[in-house]
Amino acid sequence: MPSPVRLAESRCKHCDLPAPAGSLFCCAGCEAISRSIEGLGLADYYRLRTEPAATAGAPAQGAALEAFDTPEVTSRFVRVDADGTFEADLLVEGMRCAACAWLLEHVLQRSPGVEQASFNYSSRRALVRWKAQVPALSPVLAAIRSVGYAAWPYEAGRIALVEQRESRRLLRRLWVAGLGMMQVMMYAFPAYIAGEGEITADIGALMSWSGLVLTLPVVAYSAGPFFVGAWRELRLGRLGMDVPVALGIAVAFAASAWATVAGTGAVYFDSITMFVFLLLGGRWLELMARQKAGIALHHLARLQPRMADRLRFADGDATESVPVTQLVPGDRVLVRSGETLPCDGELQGEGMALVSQAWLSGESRPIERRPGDALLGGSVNAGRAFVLRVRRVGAHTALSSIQAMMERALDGRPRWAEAAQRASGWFVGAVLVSAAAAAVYWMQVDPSRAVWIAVSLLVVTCPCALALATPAALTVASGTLARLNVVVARAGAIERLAGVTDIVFDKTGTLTQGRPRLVETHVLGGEGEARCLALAAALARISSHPLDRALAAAVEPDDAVAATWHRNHPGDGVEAWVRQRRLRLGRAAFVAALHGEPVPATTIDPSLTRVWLGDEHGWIAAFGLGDTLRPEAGAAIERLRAGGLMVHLLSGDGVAMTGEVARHFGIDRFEGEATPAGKIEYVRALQEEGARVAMVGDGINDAPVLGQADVSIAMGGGADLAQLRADAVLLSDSTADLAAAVAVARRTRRVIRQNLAWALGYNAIVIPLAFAGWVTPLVAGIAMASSSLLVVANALRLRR
Amino acid sequence: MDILFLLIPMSVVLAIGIGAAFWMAVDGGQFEDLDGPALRVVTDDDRPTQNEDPP
Repeated sequence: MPSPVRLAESRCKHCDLPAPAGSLFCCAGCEAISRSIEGLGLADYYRLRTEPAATAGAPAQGAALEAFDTPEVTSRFVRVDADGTFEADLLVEGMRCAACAWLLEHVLQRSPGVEQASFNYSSRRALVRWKAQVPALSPVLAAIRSVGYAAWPYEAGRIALVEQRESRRLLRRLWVAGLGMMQVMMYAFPAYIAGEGEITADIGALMSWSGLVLTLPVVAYSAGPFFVGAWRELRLGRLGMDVPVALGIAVAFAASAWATVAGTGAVYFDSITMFVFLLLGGRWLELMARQKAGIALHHLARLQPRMADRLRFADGDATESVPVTQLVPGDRVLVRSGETLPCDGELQGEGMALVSQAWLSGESRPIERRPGDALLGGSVNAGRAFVLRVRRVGAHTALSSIQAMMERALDGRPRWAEAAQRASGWFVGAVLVSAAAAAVYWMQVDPSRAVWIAVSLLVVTCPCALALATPAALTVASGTLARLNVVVARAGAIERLAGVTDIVFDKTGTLTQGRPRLVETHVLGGEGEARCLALAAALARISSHPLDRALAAAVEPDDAVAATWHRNHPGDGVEAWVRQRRLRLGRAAFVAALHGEPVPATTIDPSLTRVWLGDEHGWIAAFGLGDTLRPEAGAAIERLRAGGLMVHLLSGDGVAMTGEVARHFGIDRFEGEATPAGKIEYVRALQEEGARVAMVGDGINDAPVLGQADVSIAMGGGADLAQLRADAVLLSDSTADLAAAVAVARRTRRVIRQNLAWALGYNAIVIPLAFAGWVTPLVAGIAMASSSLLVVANALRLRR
Repeated sequence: MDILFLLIPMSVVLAIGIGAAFWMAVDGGQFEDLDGPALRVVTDDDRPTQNEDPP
């Protein structure tokens, strides 16, 4: 097929995708949106934005907007103020840069009744206040949709409120500590640079008292979490990193306050405030990273439409609009074209359905589903309307399972983290003992320095770096993996993935596309193979069945053998006249009905799908069709191999088929017609040789095999995610993502090792120095905080 | 140097005042979105729109 030649490279004005030559836009959708933006006088958007907009594509996907006006929805999402103003939180999809927020605000402010619209680019959320007769959401949502974004009402639920309170509280503590630090430093600085006797005693006292006044809120308020944490740890009988921190702050403050009141001795308020500020700064960065990860989860949640059209009776078409939460298994729901499926279920009635599972696999091309097939909630109906029989609702759906899985993995503690936690407990104990020892020792030698050396020792040791080394790296790595469409379902998966030596593909299906392609031709009559193919293609061209299309694509069209009269027998095959011969192409029984001969034996691999061709006198040929190989899989396997991994292929498919796939990808070790027991044996044999095996499968039929492997990865597309027993799920079905995931896991392991090495090495150097009295509390604070920040910064390298 | 006896307590009061101001800013949600307002301020439409132009 000749590739389309582009005369001039032009790009869509709206979304920056290639556009046909001479056109400003790539599609009608983008053009319509751009027109409406310019019509509103907001063309500035194109000047301000830093990222191209999302492609408009087909208009209006998702549930019909009227569904958002029903009382069930509005009572839940729309708040009414005393003066009759309505207010709603929205989740907005498609915001790419801050200019999008600007555009949306202006669009909404120009729509009737809207009093306030504020869009938050970082969290993709919006707050809209408007006046109207009835609390209907659809005008607001329609205005947002008119410029190419999608919005859903969003319950600013308990979690979001908690999140907001948490981040505000931390920010306040940080501000107080920061201000205190700067100001206290100003009072402390003269003492550092002044010569002997240059600061008079009364000025010195004034400075100390001022420092005390400003350090008090920092210790009492900003450092609160450390004291609370330390108290909690002590009550549980554990020694965490909050203990030495709290002890250090308390001792340093008490001693400085005593020195101020008594008027003798040095004060270190500057060290205390700076120490608290840097520690809080680290916590703030960590919180921001965690909340960013949370936003991705919220966006998964909003995929669910809030209303569904339930069929009212067992028969008939009458529907009623009900909230999704009221659906129960067994209900039948009408899903119109373009709507999102409200829950998991199976396809009812006659005929095929086309659905897009882009939310799951990132693949927006619709897939075909037959009656009785399972459909996943959150998918979009890309074809005709159909009826869905509800199988799972709410928390049991695939979508909810993924969310729960992500949350569980984030909460779970992998072995590395456990070990670091335990180690830091011992470490803290050792620090406390050596601080006490230092205090006792210096009491004998130089009592005036004893307190400060003990404080320095408490502060300078960095259990934080030790305790942060692993979790920081793992948190960042999970986020990076999620962007690669790999959901880490179990804690420890990253750690085990980093250590694998062999990767076993458990099905040919993991390397193929699921789109058929002609593999073998077996001639049964007296005609040549080319002739058989030409005849078959002539018939196949009539049909739209995927198998027939594959046959038609196998040969160049030939007008000499064109079907003259034809008839489609859905489910059986096609019948046509070619050059005065009556031919049938399709199932064996359908073709045999034409000539009455028994079905002959063929040499076609049993794993292939067979299509038969015959005329009124007998069989002409049989064709074996198999899967198309994934184009990107070759490069991915090459990459896995370059990473030192041994690649295997185990398949229940025929030996010939498996061999062909394996040879195509250059996989040396493969086994066809493998039984589940055989697969387990194969993996066990590998493990006995000392290999650590990662298994890639579909996650359901091969659960035992996945269990035998050291780490299991399920290809999640279409699978029943609630039953998945894998350590990680590959949502995209793309082997390229798998190779990238292995690379990320290995980098994570490297970063964790570097972090631990740094934390241990740092402590090995500073503890003796502090013991010897060469580290002042200020230097100790800076060293300790920069050590923690270094560990976090090293972990952040995993984002790329 | 007597002026220090006035200036230093003043700086303490000032610091507390600034702290209170930031406190209120945080509570007012001014730190929720750090990207949008930066852009909003330079793009605010000060020109009269065409509809309001005299005919």
